[in-house]
Amino acid sequence: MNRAILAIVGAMAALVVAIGVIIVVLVASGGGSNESTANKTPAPTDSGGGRTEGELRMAGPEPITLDPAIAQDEGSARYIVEIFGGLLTLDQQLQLQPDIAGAIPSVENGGKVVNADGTVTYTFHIRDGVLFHDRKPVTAETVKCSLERAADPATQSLVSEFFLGDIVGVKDKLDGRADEVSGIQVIDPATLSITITGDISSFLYKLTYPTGFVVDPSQTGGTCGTEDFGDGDSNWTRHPNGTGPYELKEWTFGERIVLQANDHYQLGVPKTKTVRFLLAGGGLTAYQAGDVDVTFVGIDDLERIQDPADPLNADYLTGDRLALDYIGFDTTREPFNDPDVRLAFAMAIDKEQIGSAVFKDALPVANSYDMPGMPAYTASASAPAFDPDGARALLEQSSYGGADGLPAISMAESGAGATASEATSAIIEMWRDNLGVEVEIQQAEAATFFQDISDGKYQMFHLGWIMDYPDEDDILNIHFDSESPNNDTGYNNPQVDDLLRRALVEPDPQQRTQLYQQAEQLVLDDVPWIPLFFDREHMLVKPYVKDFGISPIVVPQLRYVSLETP
Amino acid sequence: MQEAAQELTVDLAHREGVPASPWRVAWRRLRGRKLAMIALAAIALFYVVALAAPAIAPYDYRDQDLNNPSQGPAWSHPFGTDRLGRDQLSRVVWSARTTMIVTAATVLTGSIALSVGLGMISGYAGGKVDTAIMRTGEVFASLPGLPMLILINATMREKVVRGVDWLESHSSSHALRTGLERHSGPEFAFLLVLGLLVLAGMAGAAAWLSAGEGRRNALWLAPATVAALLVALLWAVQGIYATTGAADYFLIFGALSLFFWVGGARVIRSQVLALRETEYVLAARSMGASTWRILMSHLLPNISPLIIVGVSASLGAIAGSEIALTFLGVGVHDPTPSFGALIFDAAGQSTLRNYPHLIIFPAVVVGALIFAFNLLGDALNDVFTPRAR
Amino acid sequence: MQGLFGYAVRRLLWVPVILFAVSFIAFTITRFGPGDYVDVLAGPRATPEAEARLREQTGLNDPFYEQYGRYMKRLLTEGDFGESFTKYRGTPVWDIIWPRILVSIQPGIVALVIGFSVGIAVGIFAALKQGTWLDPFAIGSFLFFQSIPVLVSLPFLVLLFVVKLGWLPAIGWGGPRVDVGPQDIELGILSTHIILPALALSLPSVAGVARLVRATTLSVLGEDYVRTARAKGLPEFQVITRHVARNALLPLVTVLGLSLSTLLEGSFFVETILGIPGIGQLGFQAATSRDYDVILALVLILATAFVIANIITDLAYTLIDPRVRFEERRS
Repeated sequence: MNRAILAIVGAMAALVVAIGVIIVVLVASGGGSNESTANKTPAPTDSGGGRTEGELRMAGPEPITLDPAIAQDEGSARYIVEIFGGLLTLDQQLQLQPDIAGAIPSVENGGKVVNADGTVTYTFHIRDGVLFHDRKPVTAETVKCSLERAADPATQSLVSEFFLGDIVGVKDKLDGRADEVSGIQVIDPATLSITITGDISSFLYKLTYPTGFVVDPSQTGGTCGTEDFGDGDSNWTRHPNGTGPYELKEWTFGERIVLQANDHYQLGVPKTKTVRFLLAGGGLTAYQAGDVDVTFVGIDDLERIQDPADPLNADYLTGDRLALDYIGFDTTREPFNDPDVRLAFAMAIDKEQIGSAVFKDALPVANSYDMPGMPAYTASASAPAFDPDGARALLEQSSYGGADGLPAISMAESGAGATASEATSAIIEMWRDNLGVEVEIQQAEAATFFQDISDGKYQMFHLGWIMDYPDEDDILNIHFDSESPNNDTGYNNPQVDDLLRRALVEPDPQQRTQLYQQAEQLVLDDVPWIPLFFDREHMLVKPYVKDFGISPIVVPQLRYVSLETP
Repeated sequence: MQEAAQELTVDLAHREGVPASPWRVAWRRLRGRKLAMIALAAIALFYVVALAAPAIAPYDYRDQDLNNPSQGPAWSHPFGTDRLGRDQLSRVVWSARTTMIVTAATVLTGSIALSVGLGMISGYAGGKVDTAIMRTGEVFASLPGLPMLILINATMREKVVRGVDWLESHSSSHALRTGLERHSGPEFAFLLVLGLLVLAGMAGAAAWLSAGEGRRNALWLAPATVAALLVALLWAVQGIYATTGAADYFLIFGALSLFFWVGGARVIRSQVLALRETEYVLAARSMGASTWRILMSHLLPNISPLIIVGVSASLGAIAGSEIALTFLGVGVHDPTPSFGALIFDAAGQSTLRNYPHLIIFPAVVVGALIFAFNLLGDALNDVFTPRAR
Repeated sequence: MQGLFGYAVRRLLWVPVILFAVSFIAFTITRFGPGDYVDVLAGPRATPEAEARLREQTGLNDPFYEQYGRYMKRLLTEGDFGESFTKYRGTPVWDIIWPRILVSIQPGIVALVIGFSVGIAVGIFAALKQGTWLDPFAIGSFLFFQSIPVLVSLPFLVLLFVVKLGWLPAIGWGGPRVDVGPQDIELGILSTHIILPALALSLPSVAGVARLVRATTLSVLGEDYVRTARAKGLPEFQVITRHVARNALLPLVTVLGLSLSTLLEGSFFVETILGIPGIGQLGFQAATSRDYDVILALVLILATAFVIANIITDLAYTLIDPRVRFEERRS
């Protein structure tokens, strides 16, 4: 019996030894050489290392995909806008800039023509000398193929309709009724025309979002023009060929993304040669240890860092973002079909106190839907103010006669952890204290949250919205037009509908602003949403990092950053 | 186990000239171990505090004080306050209650009912039944626990919530009254079934009591007992499912039991296998005793020490699981307080840096509790399995 | 040996059945509940038509058994675990999982080694010092460490070593890089990144191992052959290592299986809190975002490992405890 037992123990030991040997062998043979690059410096470890010259290190989100046609999350977009490009782009002040196009088409330069049937045709001239990372030229045909690909149902994009749906023929192709998008025409190898269904001024902005970006047909496959690229490269997103300021040098899942400057970028070669994103880690400790050059500041550290006496205060940078945190009501069913009830609930929240106690004033209080920095933003737009007595009185006046007459109410929030967000808990407490209403928190699962909201499952919900492009149609029309598929509250106000639809096709910017401001105030008074907070970013940036900006939405900005030599 | 128990009896009987039951002996030995006694006292204290949470906690666990967020320990708030100004001491006390409920419920179903029941059946019946149960257990055991729990919670929570709501609306005393008045609807049927069960239980109990020695072990007693237990359980449980977040409790202890019964069942099974062949049992069988009687009066008392040891050993693990699940967001949800939630709020790096008191107090309490569970389990283990000398 | 061999074969024959059952259960649960990956991907900007299209294209509208059949067929004939949808869209599942497995086992192995070696040392020490206060003290203090759940001990360790003392690196994973096919991984095992996770994972098992070793050592110490060895005048050290240790350590084999699952549960939190790109972190993310193929692959891989570990453990039990073998002869 002893021998058998020895055999088993021996086997166990052998297993452990074998694993050890495998690891040693892997280490010895590996050597870390994956792709051939011009950079011969040995791969540095991600921590405890000093700076490498010309390399910017920061924490970054993990992207879900690097395919511009299907990306729809901010994390993926952050990298896509640096690696790829489209006809137009946005600069750090959110102004439209030509990218692959040579100029922004407008009525003045003949690039924009309003046709007799109401459609509008934009003519884009491809900039001279625009090349892919591998130096292949970009032609009008390439652009058309990229757009066609986004509109192809086989690409399985969930957002192509949202961003490219204005183009004539896109919906037909998505629904399988057409093989090509009729609204996109190649006029000559350097000229492309795009026809949209109406004079929608936000369309040019939509082109700055990844869905309309240009990809290399030899990678994605299919036919483009006269060439047939077969199946392309199924793994192409791991080594994409784009037209952006940076190339993807490496993407190690869960660990890092390394971008390398495109030395022939059409809008100017980036000042920083390499950017290394840490997909896990970073944070204040890493910043202080010198492992990252830029970091975000958590709320709990903010107080300390905002104090001028703290040494880190010199590195502190802050910037507003175009995002809104809000509570939405289902206006089609009890009890929030009664506008007085909605108003009462809104008036019972002391946003200032939550802002200072919970967020330490890190986030600005929102009194409108439009954010500061948007074209139609005005500080005079006003959401209902905090007035607990008025709220109670209003509730009594309502059809329910007071808090006791209300049915059971619950608020849904997308939960990703053990507890509801603090703001939600604080608000619920305020409703308890100021209105005498007991609201239950429903922590809904992220997976089904949006679907359930559109299905009208929740009486009210706590949600956020991040702008995709700096135009009011992306927040007001989308959410408050009664026929919009993204109207999550069932809000229906014909007067508002009229204003919004007129604004959508209004060519004069000042008129547009007026129309939107009018519409916004009407909606604010009706309270389908309670605007809570806008977003603000807080960062620490090392003194040797120059021109690092916090942009309000995701735009390519890494090429402006420069590093002082150590 | 039997021999060990007998040994103990002989041992003490020798010394004092009084025949002592194995239970009394074990209790004596336990009493002699100071550390175990302390642990027992700590656990008892914890239970009392937990049960009395509504009365003991100085503040309501939801009361926010936005003027005093994240304060360190002070006289008014011995454990400090969290980011919303809620009193940590109260939250810790209420979290203890949550842990207690989940642990108790899981132990009752998983550790005791399921593992004992299935272990005994498997060991005694042998053959195909044994294989079936053991293989099923293996399937459950090899499903990776945590991912499955997350999945189950993610996908089934809704249905459970709806089920509990239905249960609550149909079996509360209010529903009772309206159901009887209306003579219709599912409430009425449900109440009818309940009523019949109660009657059956009472009839069975009466028959059992009035029957003579020889008839006390009739097999039909079993359904009556079960029925009575069920009714009692349902009514007792009503108190629980009337509270908010009840669905979460059901889901957690249901899911945890599913994965926790296998280990215990295995151990009990091997013990039953060994006992099955002893002369004691063989004699009883040849005398014509029914299976039920053998299981209840012969096997069960002998494996009781095993059960006790197993239960006390798993208490710590179950409590830990509840905390872990809540931390991940798939346990109990807001506003039901739980240690998992407290730790979740406190574990971020910047929070640790600035407000360490948020983690220290819950962590110490949880650590102490599970330590007490383990000490007790350890001591019980030693007490019931004397060392080979 | 015939009985043992037969027993092993019989157990192994059940493995495919069990794995089928496991895959079926997991498949059912994922498809049974509300929400699928299209819902997760969709977000507020997708139109219902787009969602319907995607569902149709990826076969989510097909009847349940068809989907299951397709999945199993593809898995068994091509060894293809499918693609991820919500984590890394369009990437083969194996490319995602394999590097993560290699990362996850690093803290696991180190934790096992620490746990067992420290546990054995403490166990033997406590057994030798039985009767003195050192015995219960040693066992008691390690029991204390075992009691603290990983979830609780980890933030503490982070607070101490990372925040206050700054000895250990901030969260994340690092180390020399090594190419393992789909991509590089970092061998954190060769850097300071390994310390925190390995420490946190090993603490719970040390006490268990120590107590077991102590118990078996004690029983061995009472055996005749030890007394003989001592009577022969052998140095105590040799007595321990040559005679006592070998027999006292055998039952440890049975604990290995349990340690594996404890490690797995612990790795969830360790990886989440410390930002280590392992399968624990992936599993949680996949479950909450309904990444079906990733979930199923993980469940299957973990279940296989567990079943095999179980069989080995049971075989070891058979050798050590004659009563169990007795049972096997009868059934």
